[in-house]
Amino acid sequence: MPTTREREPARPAKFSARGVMAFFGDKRVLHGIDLDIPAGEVTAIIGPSGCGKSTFIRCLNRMHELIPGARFEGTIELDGSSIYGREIDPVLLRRRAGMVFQKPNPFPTMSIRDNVLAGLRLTGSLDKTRAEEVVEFALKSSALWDEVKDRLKQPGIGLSGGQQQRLCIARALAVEPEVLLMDEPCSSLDPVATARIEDLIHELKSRYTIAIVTHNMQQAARVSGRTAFFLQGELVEVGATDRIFTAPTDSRTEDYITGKFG
Amino acid sequence: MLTSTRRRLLRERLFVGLCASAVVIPLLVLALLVGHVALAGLGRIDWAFLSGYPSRRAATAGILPAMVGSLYMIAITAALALPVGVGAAIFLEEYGARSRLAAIIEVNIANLAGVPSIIYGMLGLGVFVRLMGFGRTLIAGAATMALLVLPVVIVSSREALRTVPYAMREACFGLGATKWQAIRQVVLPMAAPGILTGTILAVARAIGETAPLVVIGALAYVTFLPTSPTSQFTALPMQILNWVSRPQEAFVVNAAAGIVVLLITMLVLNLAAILLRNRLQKRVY
Repeated sequence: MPTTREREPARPAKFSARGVMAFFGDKRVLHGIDLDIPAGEVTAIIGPSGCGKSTFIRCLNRMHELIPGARFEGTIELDGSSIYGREIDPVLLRRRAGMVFQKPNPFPTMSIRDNVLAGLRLTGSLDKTRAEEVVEFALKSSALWDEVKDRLKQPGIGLSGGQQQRLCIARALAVEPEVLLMDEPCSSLDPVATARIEDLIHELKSRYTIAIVTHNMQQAARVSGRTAFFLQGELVEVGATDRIFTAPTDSRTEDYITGKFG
Repeated sequence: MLTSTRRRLLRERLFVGLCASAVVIPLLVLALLVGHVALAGLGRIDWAFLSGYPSRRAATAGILPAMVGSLYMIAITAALALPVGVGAAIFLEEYGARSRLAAIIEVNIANLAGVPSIIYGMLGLGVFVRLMGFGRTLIAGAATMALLVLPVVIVSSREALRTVPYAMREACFGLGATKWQAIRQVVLPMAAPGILTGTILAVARAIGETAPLVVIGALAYVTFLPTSPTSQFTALPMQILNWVSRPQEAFVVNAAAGIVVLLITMLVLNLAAILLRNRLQKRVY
């Protein structure tokens, strides 16, 4: 069911959020979000700091509720079934929807190889005979293979910031998720490293559904097919990225993308 | 103007001098004590003393049973205190940190760390020696010592767990790990150096504790080596206490030599703690 804001026809929704409200203690930070994340596409979520965009994607893999005092209301469906149902194990959900964080966070006690395998090892689902295959697949998918293939045994923390972030993407991909949730993945990277991650997003979008939170509008314009604009915990506007950036219907969107605030 | 500057400088120097003397005076007193004991005891230490058994004649008395007893005891103490302490720390830090019960427990752990060791001795006597029927054995002594060091082990383990950034746990959860999987495979390995250092330092303190051993009734005159946790035993501080309380001058010399052995054992343990930490820290790149 498309919402009233939904003008452009979209692909089938991977995630479908309705009336999403998120709280920290008594403070409500999302005020009823209706938003679809279409399958096999990159959806960018933009907006100024504190608009709730990170909180929203953390509701999609139920990471939000891990914060003490945090609460969620509303419904979110993944492939048509609720992810907040009583019988749903959030741990299993998170294996279907991998996450890449703002700051690269490879495990400091592990080598590059072990970092890639960390997700499978943590969950006890590593097939040892397939380990090398998984490492190569994940590192090739994250465009890191050529740079690290000769030093897989070296510490992951010894890589540059951009390489570390691609290692974290490899780590997320090794678990074979269907969705990649990226929470400002380039905010701590230099422009060259950022460009590499953006190229990578282009390569990954054919295989994964991607939702990326960014405060960088140019980045949203470069990597995404659809853009959602959040402001103060509300979804102001969503649509095809080129339309949002050329012909926004809401004056607040226009003010934001033309740099009048934010 | 100039005079006031000079006065300020003078005051500054006075303050630095005070602080420096706060460092130097205790060190001097300590050096004096150690020097005094070493002077009296070092000459007495030889292979016969280290490998000998207690004797009625001071000249032939040795400390082997006490040394073995002490090492045996703290090994068991560490084996008991480490898992229980780390378990408690994980529960308080990772699972129950915000509940009221945890807050009450936390205050009480801090209080327990300040309870005099003789009280732990009474507890050990009541619970381990009598109630549980261990008797005056190694295991009773070690269990009592484990209780004594537990608060310190818990507090230092919690601190070590707290140094692991939340981002690490978050990364695990994002990969679909449960809390326990994250703790076991990522958080604990990262906190291990801190946990081990804290535990070894706490246990090294226990090797010098005398009061609980006196209360639970560890023997002072033992002519055999402990063979199992249920053996009767003596420990270095007990042996020293026994020798010090004798009237003959030669036994007092033995006591001084025993103190030197005890101090060296403690130093070795502390050194081991530092080496272990450095080794493990290298693994955490």
